[in-house]
Amino acid sequence: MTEEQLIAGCKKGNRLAQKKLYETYSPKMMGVCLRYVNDRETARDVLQDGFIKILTGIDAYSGTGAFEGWIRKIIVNCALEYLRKNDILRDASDLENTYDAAYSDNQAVANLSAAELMKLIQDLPTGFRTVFNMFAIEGYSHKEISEMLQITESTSRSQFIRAKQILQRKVSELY
Amino acid sequence: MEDKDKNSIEDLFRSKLYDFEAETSPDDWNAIVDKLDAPKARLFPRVWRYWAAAAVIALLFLGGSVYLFHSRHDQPQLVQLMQEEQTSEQSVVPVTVPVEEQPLSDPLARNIPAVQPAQKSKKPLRKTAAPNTRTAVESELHCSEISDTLQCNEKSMLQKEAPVSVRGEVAAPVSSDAYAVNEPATGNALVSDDTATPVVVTRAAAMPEDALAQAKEDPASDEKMKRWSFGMGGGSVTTGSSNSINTFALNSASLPDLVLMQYNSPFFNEHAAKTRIRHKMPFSFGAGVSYALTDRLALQSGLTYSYLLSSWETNGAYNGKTKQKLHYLGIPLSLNYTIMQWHRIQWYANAGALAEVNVAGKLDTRLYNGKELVSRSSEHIRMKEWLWSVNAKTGLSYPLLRFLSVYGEVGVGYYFDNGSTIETVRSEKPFNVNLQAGFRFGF
Repeated sequence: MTEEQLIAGCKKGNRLAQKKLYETYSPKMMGVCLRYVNDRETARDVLQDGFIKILTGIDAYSGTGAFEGWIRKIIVNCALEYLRKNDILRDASDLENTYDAAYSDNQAVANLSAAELMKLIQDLPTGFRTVFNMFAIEGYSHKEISEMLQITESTSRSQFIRAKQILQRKVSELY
Repeated sequence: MEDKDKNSIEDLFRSKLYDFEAETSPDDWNAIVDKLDAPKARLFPRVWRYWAAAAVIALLFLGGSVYLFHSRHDQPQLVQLMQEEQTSEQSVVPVTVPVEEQPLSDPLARNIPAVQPAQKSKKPLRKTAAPNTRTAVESELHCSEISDTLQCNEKSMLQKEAPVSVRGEVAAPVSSDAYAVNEPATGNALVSDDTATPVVVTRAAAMPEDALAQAKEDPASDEKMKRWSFGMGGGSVTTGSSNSINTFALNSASLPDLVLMQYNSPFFNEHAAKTRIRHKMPFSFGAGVSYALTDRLALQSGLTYSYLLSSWETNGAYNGKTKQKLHYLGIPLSLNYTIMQWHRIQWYANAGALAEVNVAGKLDTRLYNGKELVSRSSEHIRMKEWLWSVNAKTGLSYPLLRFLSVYGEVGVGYYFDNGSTIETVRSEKPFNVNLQAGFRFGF
C-alpha cells in the first residue's frame, strides 16, 4: 500500500488503513514524544492524542509537503500543548546561569548510541529540552521558536546554548 | 550564527535522533480506536442514523395515510349532520315539497340526487340536479374554510337536493356533464323540471348571486385550486451553541491554523491562548408548495435556503480570525395538520424531514501579529455529505390579507451527524429548539 493509498483510505475512515498508518509512523512518533516528555506514560498519552487528531483531521492534509512532516508537526504540537497545560516549563529560566560553558567533544557524542543520547536529552530541564529539540532535531529556526513559544528570539538562542552546554558537560562526564 | 551552531554537536544529535524509534504498547492502538469511536456512539451508530431518518419519514407517510383513510369515512357523517341541521330548520325556510326532503334524511340516497325528481317528472333531471349538487359542494367548502356556520346553513338550506359528496370526491362525470349542459341557462336553468319548477325557482331566486357565480366555475379546476397552494416564508431563531478548540484546529482544515495554534502555545507565558468560537444564528427562507390531503391535513414540500456563518478568533500576540460561510439548499417534506380554527386564527402542527446539500462555502483565514495583518488566505469549501434532519413544530397563523398571513411557531429539530469534518452549528448543536415568526405569502 503506497502512502497515497494509505492517506486515501484514512480519509474514507477505513479502519485497516488507519491501523496501518499508525503502525507505520507510531514508533518514530513515540521517539518524538519521549524527547519532549520524558515520562513514558505521559508520552503514550501524547502519542494517543496526537494520532486521534491526525486520524480525525486527515482531511486537512492537502497533499503538499511531506506527510511525515505533517504528522510530526501535530505530534510536536500535542507535546507542547501538554507541557503548557501542566505548566511545567516556567522553571526553565531559573536554570539559565547554573552551568558554566563546557568544551565540545564531538567525537564523544558520535560514539554514544541513540538511546544514550535520548537519555541525555530527557535529563535536560524541560525548557532547555524543548528548545533544543525544536531547534536541533526538528529544525525550527529561532525565529519560528520564538513565535511558537511566545518568547524572544534571543531567549530562544540563549536557551539553546545553555542546553548544548549541559549536554556537552554530560557527555564529558560519561567519558 | 545558527548555521555554525548546527554544524556541531546538534548535528550529531539530529542525525541519531530524528528518526529514533521507540517501542509502543499494543494497548495504545486500542485506546485510540476507543476514542475514535466514542463520539459517534454518543449519537447514532453510522449506519443506523440513516435508517432512523428513513423510519421517521415512513412513519409520517404512514400516519398521514391512516388519517386520510379514516377521515374519508368520517366525512359522510359530517354531511349528514349538516343535512339534519337543515332539516330541523326547515320551518324557517319555505321548503315544502316532501319528495325532496327524503334524500336529506336518507344517507343512501345522497349519491343519486337526480333519481327522486326524475321519478316524478319523467324528464331527465340531470340539468336540475347538477347545479344544486354544485352549490351544495360550494357551500360545504365555504363552511370548512370560513367556519361561518350561519352563512353556511343559510346557503345549504337553499339547496333542494342533499349535498352529494365531500370535496375531492364530487367530480363525478354526471355532475360535470350536467353542469356543462346547464351552463348557458345560468340561474334559472331549473325550469326544465315541470313539477319541481315552483319550488326550485323560488329557491334559485333566493340563492345569493355569488353562490350562483361560483356555480359557474368548473368543478375540476376548482378542486385543483383548493388542493394546491403555494407559499413563501423565512426567519429563524435558534438556541446557542458550544464548542471546543480541538475541533476548531481540525475542522478549519488548513495547516496555517495548526501553525497558529503552535504560535500561540504560550510556552514561557502565563496567558493561555483561547479560541472564541461563534456560530451565528442560521438564516433561512424558502418557498413551498402544499397539497391538501383533507381539510385539515396537507403534505408540504418546497425548496429552502440556509446560510450558516461561523467564526473562530484566537487571541495572543499572533492571533487569527477565521470565518466560515456555508450556503445550503434543502428540500423539505412534511405533513401539516390544522388542529383548530378560531376566528380565522389557525393553530397547526407540522412534522417532517429536511434534506440539505451544501452548494457553496468559503473559509476566510486572517493571521495578525498584534493588529497587523500578516497573512490572509481564502479557500472554497464544501460539505460533500447531505445533511439530514427531522423536525416538528406547532404554531399559529392569522391571515392579514388574502395572500399574506402572519405566523409564529415553536419547533424542535434534530440534525443527524453526517460524518463531515466541517464544523457548523448543526454539528455542534444537533438538537435545537427554535422560534420562528414572520410573514407568509400564499398564492
